[in-house]
Amino acid sequence: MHIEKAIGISKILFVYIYVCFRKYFKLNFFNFVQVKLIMIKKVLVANRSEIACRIIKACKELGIRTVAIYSDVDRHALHTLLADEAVYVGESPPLKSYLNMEAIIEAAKKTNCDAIHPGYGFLSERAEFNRMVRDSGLIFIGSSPESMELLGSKVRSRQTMMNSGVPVIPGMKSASKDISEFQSVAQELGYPVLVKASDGGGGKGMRIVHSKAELEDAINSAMRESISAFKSDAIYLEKYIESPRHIEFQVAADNFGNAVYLFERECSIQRRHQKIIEETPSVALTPELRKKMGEAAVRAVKAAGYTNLGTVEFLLDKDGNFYFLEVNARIQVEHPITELTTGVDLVKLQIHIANGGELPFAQEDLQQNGHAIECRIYAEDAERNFLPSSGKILYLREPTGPGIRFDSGIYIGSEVPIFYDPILAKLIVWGKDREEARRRMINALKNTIILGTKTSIGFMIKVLEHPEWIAGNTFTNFIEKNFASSYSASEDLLIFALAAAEFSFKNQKKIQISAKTKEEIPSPWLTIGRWELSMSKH
Amino acid sequence: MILSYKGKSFEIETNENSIKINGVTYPFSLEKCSDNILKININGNERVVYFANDGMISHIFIDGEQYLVQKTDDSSGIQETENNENKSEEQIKPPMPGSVVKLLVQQGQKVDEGAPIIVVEAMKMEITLYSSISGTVTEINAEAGQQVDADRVLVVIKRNEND
Repeated sequence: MHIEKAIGISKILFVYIYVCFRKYFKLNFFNFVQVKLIMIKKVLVANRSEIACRIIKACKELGIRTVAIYSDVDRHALHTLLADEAVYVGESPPLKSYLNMEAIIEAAKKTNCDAIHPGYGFLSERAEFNRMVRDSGLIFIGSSPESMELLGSKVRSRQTMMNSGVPVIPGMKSASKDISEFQSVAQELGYPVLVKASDGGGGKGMRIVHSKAELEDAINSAMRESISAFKSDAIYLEKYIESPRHIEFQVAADNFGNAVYLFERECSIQRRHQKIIEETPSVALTPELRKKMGEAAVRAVKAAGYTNLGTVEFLLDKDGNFYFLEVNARIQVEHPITELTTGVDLVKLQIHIANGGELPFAQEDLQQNGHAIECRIYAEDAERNFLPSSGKILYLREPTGPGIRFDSGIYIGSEVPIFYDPILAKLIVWGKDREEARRRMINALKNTIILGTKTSIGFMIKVLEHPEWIAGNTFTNFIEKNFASSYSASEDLLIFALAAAEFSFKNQKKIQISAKTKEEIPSPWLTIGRWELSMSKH
Repeated sequence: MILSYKGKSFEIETNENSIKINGVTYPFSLEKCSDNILKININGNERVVYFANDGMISHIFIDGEQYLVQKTDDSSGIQETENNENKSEEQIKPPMPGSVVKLLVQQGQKVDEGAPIIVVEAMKMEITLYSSISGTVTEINAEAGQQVDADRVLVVIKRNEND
C-alpha cells in the first residue's frame, strides 16, 4: 500500500518536474534564440517629423538607441530632440539632406549604428539606397533591394502579379512609346482609360483619357511629367476604373517564408491623389471578400519575394471586383489604424523581422477589433486647393482621451518648413464601431488646437459630418463629388474671431508697453514694435 | 480697430459689455482664461476661443474652425470715418455675412437720417440697418432670402441736394 502510494506520488512528482524542466528548457532555448537574433542595438532614423518620432519611440521601448538626422531648417525639430543623438546631414533642400544617401550612411557609421530605418517617403523605397546601406555593413529595416526594384516598376510588378494569379487592371503588359499601340489597346478596353507613368506615384504622370482625340496629348504630357519627376519616360495604359474605392492590405512577411495579412485600410478620401482620411475596417468588405483580398495580398508579396512590412494596394470597383495597384515597400503613413484594431505594433514588428525573427503570429491569431480612423493633419489651406502652408507653431494643444492617439512632429515654437511634405501630425482614434469612432474623431479634431499655420482640421470635420461619409459612400472621388465648388470654411463664428483678434492685438500692445517700463532704458528700436508705431498715430 | 478677414474689413470697437462691429452693437463679455484662451459671449452665445498672434496676424481657432484675422493700418480707418462726416452717399452693408430678411425701402424712396433700411440675419439674429444720412434710395442690390457677404453693398442712399 505504502509503496504503491509512494510510487503514485513520485509519478506525479516526476511528471511535475518533467513539465517544469520542459518549460524551463523551452524558455531557456527561446531566450537563447532571441539573444542570438538580436543584432540591432542602435538605429539611425533616416527621416523627419512625426514618423521619425514614432520610430524613435518604438526603438526606445525596445531598448534600442536612436540617432536622428537633420537639415539646417530642422536643427531643432522634434525628432532631433527625442533621439539619443542627432547628426546634421546637409542643407535644407531634401536632395542635400534627407535624400543625401552618402551623408546618411556616413552618419550611421560615425555613430556606430547597426541599422537604418527609412520611415516613409524620402529614401524608403529607393533600392539603390537599400543596397548601399547593406553594402556598408548595416541592416536596412525593410525588404531586399531586389524585391523593391521589382515592385517599384509598375510594369514589372504587374507581370509578376498576373503570373501568380493576383487580379490586375486590364491594360498594356509593358511600357510603350508606340502611339498606335496605345490607340489599339484603348479601343479594345473602351474609354475612359488611364495613361500612367511606369515609375510614378502620388498621381504624378497620370492622365485620365475620355476619348481617342485626347489620347496623344495625354501620352505626351504624362511622359514629360514622368521624365521630370521620375527621370523615366516609361508610360503605359490601362482601363480606368470609375469611382473605385482605394483599399489596401497590410502584410508582413519574415525571412522563413511566413506571410500574413493584417487586414485592410480604406483610404478613399483623397485630395490631389493623396490620402487624408483613412479607416479600418472598410464598410465595403464582406468577410469573404476580405479573406479573398487578404490572401491575394499575401500571394502578391510572396510572388515578389518581399519580406518585412508592406502594403498591397487594390482598387475595388462597384461590383466587388478588386485589382492590384502596387505594393508600398515601407511603413505607411496610415499604419496606426491597423495597430489600433489588431493590437500589433508594426514598427516593432519591422525591427523584429529585420533582426531575423520569425513572425510571432499566424494568420488565424489575427483579428480586427473595433473601428479606427486616421486624419492626417497637414499644414495646408483647404480653401485654396490644399496649397501647402508654412509657418511657426504658436500654440498647440494635443487632443487626449480614451481611444485617442496623436502622432506628432511639432511643438510650440517649432517651424513648419517649406521644403518637405507639410504633415504636422496624425490624429488616430479607436471606437467600438464606426459611428463611435467618427464622433470621437470629430470631437478630437475640435480639440486639436494648432495655431500658427493653416491646417486641414476644419475641412476634415466637414468630411466626417457629411451624410455620404456617414453612409459609407467613400470613393476616391469623394472630395471632388461632395465638395465640388471649392471648399470654404464656415463663417458662423467670425464675430467671435473678430472679438478675439481685437483683444489679442490690444493685449499685444500692453505687453510691449510693460516691457518698456523696465528700469534700464534700452534702445527704442528693440522695444518699440509695430504696435507702438501704429499707436502713435492715434 | 480695423481688422480684415479674407480681404473684407471690419471695424471693431469693444467696451466692457458691448461690442460694435461695423456699426452694429451686440451685448458682449470676454473672460481671459490663459494667454491663449478666451471665453467670449456675444449676444448670449458663448464660445471658447483659442488665439495666438504672429505680428499683424491673429490666428484663431473656435470649435474646429480656423480664422486668420489681420490688423490693418489704423490710419486708413480714421480717414474713412472722417469722410463719413459729410459724405454724399451712404452704402449700406451687412456687418457680418448673413442673409437678407426684409427690405424696408423702395427704389427712389426718400429717407430721413436714422430711418430703418433693411433687415439682415447673421449670427442667428435679426439686425436692422439704418441710414446715417437723409437722402434718396438710388440703388438696391438685395432681395429677401438672399445670402450676402459682409462687403456687399445692399442699398445706396444719395444725400439730398438741398441738405
